[in-house]
Amino acid sequence: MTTADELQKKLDELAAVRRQRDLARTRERSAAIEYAATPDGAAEMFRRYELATDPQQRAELRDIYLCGLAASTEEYQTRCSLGNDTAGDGPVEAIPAGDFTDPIARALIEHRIMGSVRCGPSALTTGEVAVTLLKVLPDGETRRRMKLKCPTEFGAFCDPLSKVVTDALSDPKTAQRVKDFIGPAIVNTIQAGSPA
Amino acid sequence: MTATIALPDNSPVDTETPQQRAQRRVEELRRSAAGVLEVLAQIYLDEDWKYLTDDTGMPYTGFTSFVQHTLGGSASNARRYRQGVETLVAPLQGITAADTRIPVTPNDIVQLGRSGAEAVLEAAPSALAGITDSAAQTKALRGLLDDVIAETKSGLGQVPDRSPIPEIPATVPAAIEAGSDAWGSDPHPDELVGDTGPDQPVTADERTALNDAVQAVLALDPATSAGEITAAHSTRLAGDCLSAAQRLARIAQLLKALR
Repeated sequence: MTTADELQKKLDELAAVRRQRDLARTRERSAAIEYAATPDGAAEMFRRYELATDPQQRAELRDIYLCGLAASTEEYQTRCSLGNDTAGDGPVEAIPAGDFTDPIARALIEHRIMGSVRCGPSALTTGEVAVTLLKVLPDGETRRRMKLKCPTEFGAFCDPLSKVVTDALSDPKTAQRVKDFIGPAIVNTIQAGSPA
Repeated sequence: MTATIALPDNSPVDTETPQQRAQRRVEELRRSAAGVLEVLAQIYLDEDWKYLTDDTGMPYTGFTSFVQHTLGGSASNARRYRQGVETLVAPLQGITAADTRIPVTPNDIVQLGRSGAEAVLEAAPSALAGITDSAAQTKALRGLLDDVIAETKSGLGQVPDRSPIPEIPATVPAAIEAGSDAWGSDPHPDELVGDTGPDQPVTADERTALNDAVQAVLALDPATSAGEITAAHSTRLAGDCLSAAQRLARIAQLLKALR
């Protein structure tokens, strides 16, 4: 085998490894989009996006998040066309943490509490939407979830997560459940900020 | 000692060894398993299930419920068949000869997943290039399926050098703390266009379907618009207006969250 043949062989091997790497990247991205189409995935992807500072990474995360929302909308439309949509069903969307200078939003970020909402046509008729709070425990794997009904106007839900949690804490019907879910540290932060 | 056994005329049994018989039967089994998926793909493409009803005379609510009812088994098994039909068998039928057997098994569908199925479809045109014989096409497809499954399992290249998906952060980065806040206070209030009414000309790169639609809505006077609508149409239109308002609010929310 000549040196040129050996070089060509190495180049072919390199090209094959690059193809496999690109394939793996494509797969990882597709898997991330599939996950971002779920309530947990949308909430997690958006939290990554809202706290990302590298412009390239921000653009990538934004793209994955939006593709996930589009996939979720498509799934919702399929459920509707098959007659399988449930009460309060709709496309999924993440709830932003809130103003980053707000201690409540910062506490929610610190405890990795996120939120997602399904906002569909029923929001217009019932005046409320189904919000899911998600908490990723320090092990990075265990997830706790809590469902809430939140009021909407014109079928649109625009509240940040800090307001969702604060409102739920001041509502006697949900206060205890929310307290147990968010933990004493965030409860104290919220109570310290609220007018006596 | 010999015994007379009734055999089908075309049976190769009298000439084959036990090993050959075992090979032949496993091949028959493979063909039957793949055959189920091939027939399902035809039913899926032509939406035959819409013309059928279940035992109680009710039409099927979808392809998955048809598969579950017809083949039995769990809903997840039916979804697996549906996924295989949608992501592999039907698209592969579209690029192979009419009598080419698509050698996909339910196990392949599980092992490949959606991303593996995509990889198979991507590579299929080049794997089939220049092959016209249907048996050779089936063989080439089987080779491709095995390659992609092996690649999926090997994990080679599964850890890209820089993953686009970081850990979920638990702190606000200093750069954001400094004021580039994405949600709360606006860092560049002066850049906000205060009046985007219809009188403001829209530049060429702002001409999107969204911008055109918003400009059209903003150009409407509510009282005049309502006056032009007859009572017969007003209820339906009122519902549409609310749905449109909801849609616009969702877009506004996304634009605000993703700026």
